[in-house]
Order: sequence, then C-alpha cells, then structure tokens
Amino acid sequence: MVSWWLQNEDFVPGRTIVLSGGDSLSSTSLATLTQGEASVAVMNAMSYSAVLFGNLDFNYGRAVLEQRISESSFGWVGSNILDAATGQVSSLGKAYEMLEVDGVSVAIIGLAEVDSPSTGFGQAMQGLEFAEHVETLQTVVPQARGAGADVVIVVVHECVGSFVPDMTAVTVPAVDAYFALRCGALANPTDSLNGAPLLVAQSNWNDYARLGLRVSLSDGTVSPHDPGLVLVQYASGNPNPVTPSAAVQAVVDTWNDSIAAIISEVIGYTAIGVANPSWELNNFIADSWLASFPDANFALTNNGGIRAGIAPGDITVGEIIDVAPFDNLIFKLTLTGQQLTDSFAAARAGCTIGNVYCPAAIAGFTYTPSPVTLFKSDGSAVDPNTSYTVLVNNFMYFGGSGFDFQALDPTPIDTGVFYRQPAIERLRALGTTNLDPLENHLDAVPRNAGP
Amino acid sequence: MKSTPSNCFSIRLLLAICLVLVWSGCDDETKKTDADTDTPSGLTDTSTDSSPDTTVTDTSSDLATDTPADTTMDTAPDEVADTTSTDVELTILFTANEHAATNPIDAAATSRGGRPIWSVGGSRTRTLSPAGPSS
Repeated sequence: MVSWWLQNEDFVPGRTIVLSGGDSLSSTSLATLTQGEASVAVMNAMSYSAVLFGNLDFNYGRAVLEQRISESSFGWVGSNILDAATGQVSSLGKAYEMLEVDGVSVAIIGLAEVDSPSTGFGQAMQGLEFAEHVETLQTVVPQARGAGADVVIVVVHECVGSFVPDMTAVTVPAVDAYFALRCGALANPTDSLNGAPLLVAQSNWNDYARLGLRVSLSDGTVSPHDPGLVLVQYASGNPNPVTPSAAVQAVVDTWNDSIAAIISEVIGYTAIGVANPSWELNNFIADSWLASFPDANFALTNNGGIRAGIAPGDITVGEIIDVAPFDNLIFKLTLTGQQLTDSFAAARAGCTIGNVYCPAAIAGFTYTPSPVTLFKSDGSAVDPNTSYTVLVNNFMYFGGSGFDFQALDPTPIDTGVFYRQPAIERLRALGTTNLDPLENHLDAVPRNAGP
Repeated sequence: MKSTPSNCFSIRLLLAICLVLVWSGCDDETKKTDADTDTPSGLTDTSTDSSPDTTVTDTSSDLATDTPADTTMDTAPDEVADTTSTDVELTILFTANEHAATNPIDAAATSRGGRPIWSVGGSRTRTLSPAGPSS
C-alpha cells in the first residue's frame, strides 16, 4: 500500500494525512495472536496520522487497548466516547487530533459507533458512553475551530447508510470532508453530505479513499478536488504488481515470522473451498462445538463472528483463525427451552431482512421463523419447560448480537476454549486430504426451515 | 531591446535596488534563493525573478549579465515560493482497516479463491448493509 501511494499519490510520510476508519487491531490471525501489537507496528511504519476507535478495538480488553495506544505514533480519536461519570470525552482518546501541515491546522474528528457496547466487547467498554453523532459534532466542531482548525475532517465508524440519514435531518456544523465505512455493495464511492465530500472505503485494504483539499492561506477557503475510491487488489495466484516498501515489509516479516509456526500448520484440505456465508461453514463450526462438548444439547455462535471462508487447497490454522478471528470464549449455560426460544427470537428480530444466517450458526436444533419455534435434531419440539445445556460465546452472553443470556444464567461455566478451537480440532480429527476433502464432510442443509 | 540614456539608467538602477530590497524583505524565499545562487551577478540577477521583479528591472543593460544559467536557477524556486504562498495542497488517504493485517500488508491486497476475504452477514439493524457485529 505504501509503495502504491508513493507511486500514485505523491505520498509524503508525515505530510500526507493517512486515516483509519477503526477496527485496526483485530479480525485476522496475526492481529489476534499479537492482540493488535503487530497492527500498530505496521501502521506506525505506514505513517498513519490518526485513527478512530472501532467497536472491535476493544476486543482484548481495556488494558490491552491502552497499551496499544501507547505504542502508536498516530493519534486515537474518540470524539463521542465519553466518561460515563463525568460526561467528558474519555481520556482513552482525544476529542480531536490536530495535525499541522505546511502551516494549515487540520482537525480530525472521530465518531465511534453508537452501538459499540452491543456490537463489540461490551465488558471492555464499561464506564464509557457513546454519544450520538450529531450531538457530538455540535460540540466538538466549534471546539476544533476555536482551537484554530483551518480544516475539519470527520471520520465515522459506521456503514455509510446508517448515519447519513441522521446527519441530514438536523443542522450539523460545517465540516470539510467525511470519511466512513462502505458495507456491502458499492453504490457510489464518492458522494456528499451537507455540502462536504463523503468518501467511503471497505475492509481488508482492498481499496482506499483519497481526497485532495486545496487550502487558501489568503482567505481560508477549502476546495476539495479529485475525490475517489482506489481499488488495490489483484487476482489470487497472480504476482503482486507492486514491489512492497522494504521498511514496511521488514516489520511485517518480523511479526509473521513470530507466529509462522502456529498459523502455517496444515490441518486439512478442501478442493473447492468453503464460502462465507454458507450453511456449510456455519453448520460445521456449530457442529464442531457439540463434538467438543458432547454433554451439551445445543450450540449457538453469532453469525457476525464468522468472518471469512476457507480458500481451496490446504487448510491451515491461520485460515481458521481468519474464519473466527476473535478471542471469544465458549460459555456453557443452563436454559429452559422457553428461555432459549425467547432469546433466539429476540435476537432474530434484530436481523437484517433476508439474512438467513442471522442471528447465529446453530447446532443441535433447527427452527422455523414465524413464529420462532425450535426443534431438536430428531425433529421433536424443544420442550419449553425442560432445562438444556447450551453453548454460546461470551460475546453473546454479555449482550452481543441481540442476545442477553447473562440475566438468564448468572453462573455460566467458562470453558476457557476459544470459539474457533473446536473447528480446528474437528479438522484435525477428520484428517481431510485431496482424496477425501472437507466438502465430503459438510452439511449444507439450511437450519432455518425446521426438521 | 532599445537603449537607455545613462542618467535614466542610474535612476532606474536606484529604483530597482529599492524595489528589490522591499521585495526581498517581503518574501523570504526569494531572498534566500537569490542570495544562494546569484551573488556574483548581484542586482542584475533579480531581473529574472518572478513577474514583479521582471517588470521593474528587465532593462537592456541588464541583459548582458542575464545568463541563461541564472535564469534557469532562479525560475524554479521562485515559482514554488509564489504558488505556495497562497495555497496549501493536502492529500488525505483513508482506509478501513478491519482484516487488514494478514493480507500482503505493504502491497495490493488480495482475494482468495476468487472471492473477497471479507464477508457479509450479521445482524446490525441500523445499517443498510448486512455487515453486522463481529465479535
């Protein structure tokens, strides 16, 4: 990426403003195994200017996040992350990051997802409040202008479609550009919001947004130009068209070497790969839980925690970590059939219409949606009055993805097992090869249609 | 170029000195450039500076000492100084970092098996897309 920028963007480290939309520390095997330390090291080498807090940046707990912040050469901005006790911007981040470029003061405002406590690891966010975006801008933009900002840029850790309606419904202080996340299909890479450019980028560094701003020192006007979304991907199997920056590559190599033995272990084989989302992948992961904990009746792991498919060829531990990259642990609960049904129905009510895999990959039961009715694997109904042993992950237990099992079973058993580990063990046990690939062992039957 | 009477030339020379001093006082970049590159030519070198200088001091008698080399050296620094004195160009690059670290970090990101690594799915209701919660 840096090499590409040097060749195509007149990239000048320290002068070119490089921003991250958050979730910088997680969702990959390298990031997970180093608890984000490798991510920070690479971003330092890439001369990032400022980042904002994504909901997933709290995955490793508050202490680890604070450690990562201390290691960063870039600023962390949490304009709407407040200390619940004082109502002031939390000391975890800054209300804005002020950058100085050739005599121009540029304020970076970062808006974290308001729903972060439920979409991220809420335990690590205790004592924090995530203020509404408009309210935050009405407070922070004047503060930044008052502090001498010539340019104000707002970065939002939200899918672009979710916050734009809020921003357009009321008066928002003028800013010079918005950057946000693109989720799903690309409709329009560059747009505008309240008269300012609105640019989006998507995960994986498969693309980046770029914008030029011409700042007049004589009258203070800020003129945007050349907005765009730049795709930076090439087909699998093709040579990398860009020669990596030696300095950045050295940092990457150091970290990859440190975990190479772990992530490169081959534990299976698939000839055609396993797509995500798919019933094959969801069912395999959930079934592997019951295989690891045969005393349990049911298993559920939130679908949002399954983040990648499996590529054709050898299957490595690293790939499974990419599939389930979070440090979520498996909790064992005791629930009645009614409690499980009600919880599942409540979570499902929050799903995006049409997402058949939401809210969770499940095992040991199927369901019909209207009304939500659960059936055991043998086709009989789940008895509302019977107590069952249910496996969930701790993200769901503490309220994630619309579940809230904590109130139903306040004394869960923490198995201490990462939610990906049963899949790794299951793959090892199957011993799949090119003669007997994984697809021979997958269940593609949908579990949202009852028995 | 037409010739110039010597008395007029003297007046113009003094005027040029004054204007150049004033100009140099207002523009540090120009002053530094001239001092660095044109000291032997002195006053006459300023004749090839940016447009205000040229208008004032580009007399016929100066041309003899206005060598092509001086012109070349003066032009580039003056253009930069004059342009950047009024506008500053900023470039902003924005990335969405989730899942970034195990891709080829300092190169173009890739896809595996012909499909994006990043997947859809999840349950966030406030979004138009199905990106959803992750952990």
